[in-house]
Amino acid sequence: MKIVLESFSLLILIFLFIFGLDLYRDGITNAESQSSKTETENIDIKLFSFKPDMVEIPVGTTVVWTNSDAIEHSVTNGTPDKLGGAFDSDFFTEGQTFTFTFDKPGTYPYFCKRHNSMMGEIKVVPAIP
Amino acid sequence: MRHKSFLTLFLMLALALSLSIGSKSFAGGDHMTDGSFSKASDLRLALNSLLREHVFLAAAATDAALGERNAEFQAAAGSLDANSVDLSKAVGSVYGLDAEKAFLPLWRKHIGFFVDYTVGVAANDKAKQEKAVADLVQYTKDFGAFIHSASPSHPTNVVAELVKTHVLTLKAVVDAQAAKNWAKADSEIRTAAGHMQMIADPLAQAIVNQFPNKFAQR
Ligand SMILES: [Cu+2]
Repeated sequence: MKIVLESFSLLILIFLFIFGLDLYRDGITNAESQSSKTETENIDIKLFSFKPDMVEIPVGTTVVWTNSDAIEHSVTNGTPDKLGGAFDSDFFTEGQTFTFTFDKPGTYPYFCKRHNSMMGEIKVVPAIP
Repeated sequence: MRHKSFLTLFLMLALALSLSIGSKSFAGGDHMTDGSFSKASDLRLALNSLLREHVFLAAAATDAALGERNAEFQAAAGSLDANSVDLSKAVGSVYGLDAEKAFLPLWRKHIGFFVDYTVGVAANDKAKQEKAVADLVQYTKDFGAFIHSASPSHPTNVVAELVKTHVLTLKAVVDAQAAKNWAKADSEIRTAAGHMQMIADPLAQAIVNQFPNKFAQR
C-alpha cells in the first residue's frame, strides 16, 4: 500500500515538473518575442467605452484597440468638434482590431465617430534613455 | 382648447402618479442596499416604472413642443432628463459605473432624435422627419449592441426590435398629437407605455439570471 502511494506521489511530482517546465518555457517565449518587438498597449472597446480610457506610453509604442461590442466603433484622433488627423480607424466591428504606432510625443485625444460620447486619450512621453 | 387642457391635466396626473411610483420603487431605501436592488421583483418594478415614466414624460414634452408651449416643454424635458439619469443609475447599480456613464449619453441620444422628429412634424419638414426616423432606426442597433455587451444572453437584434417598437409607438403618439387627434394620442400613449413592459421584464430577468447571487428570487 505504501509503495503504491509513494509511486503515485512520484508520478504527480514528475507530472508537475514537466507541466511546470512547459509553463516556464511558454513564459520565456512570450517575453522574448515581446522584447524583440516594439512595446504594445491594449485597449478594449467594451460597453461603449474605451478601457482604459487614459493611457500614458513611451514613444514608439503600438496601441491595439479591440472592439468587443457588437456594433461598429471608430478610433478617431481629435474631438467631435475638432479632428486631429493623426489617425482614424474608420468603423470596425466586433472582434476586429485597430493598430497604431505612436512615433511622436504628445497628447492624442480620440473619440468614436458613431458615438461621440465615447472618448479616450493617449499621452505619448519621450522614451527613457 | 378644452380638450387640450384636459389632456395636459391628464398627463400631469399620470406624471405625478408615475413619478411617485417610480421614486418609491427606485429610490425607496427599504428596498435597496447600497444603491442596488436586493430583490428580483424590485429590479423588475423599478425598470418598468422608469421606462413607463419615460413614455409619459416624452409624450408631455412632444405635446408641449407641438403646441409651442415653450415653458411647459422645458419643464417636461427637464423631468424627462431626470428620468434618464435615474435609468442610468439603475443600469449602473447592476453593471457598474462605466456602464452607467456610457448608458446616459446613449439613452439621451434617442430623445434628441425624437425632438428632431417632433420639430420636423411641427414644421411640416418631411426631410427632417425622415432623417430623424433613420437616425432612430440606426439607434435601435446601437442600443441592442449595448444591452448585448452588458447581458450577452440578450441577442442584439432582439433588443433592437424591441426598441424599434418603442420608437414606432412613440412616433404614433407624436403623429396623433400633431393631427390634434386627442383620443388617438391618448390611446397611443397607453400602447407605448404598455410596450415598455416588453423591454423591462426580459431585461430584468436577464440581469437576475446573470447575477444570481445579487438578487433574491422573490
Ligand atoms: Cu462607437
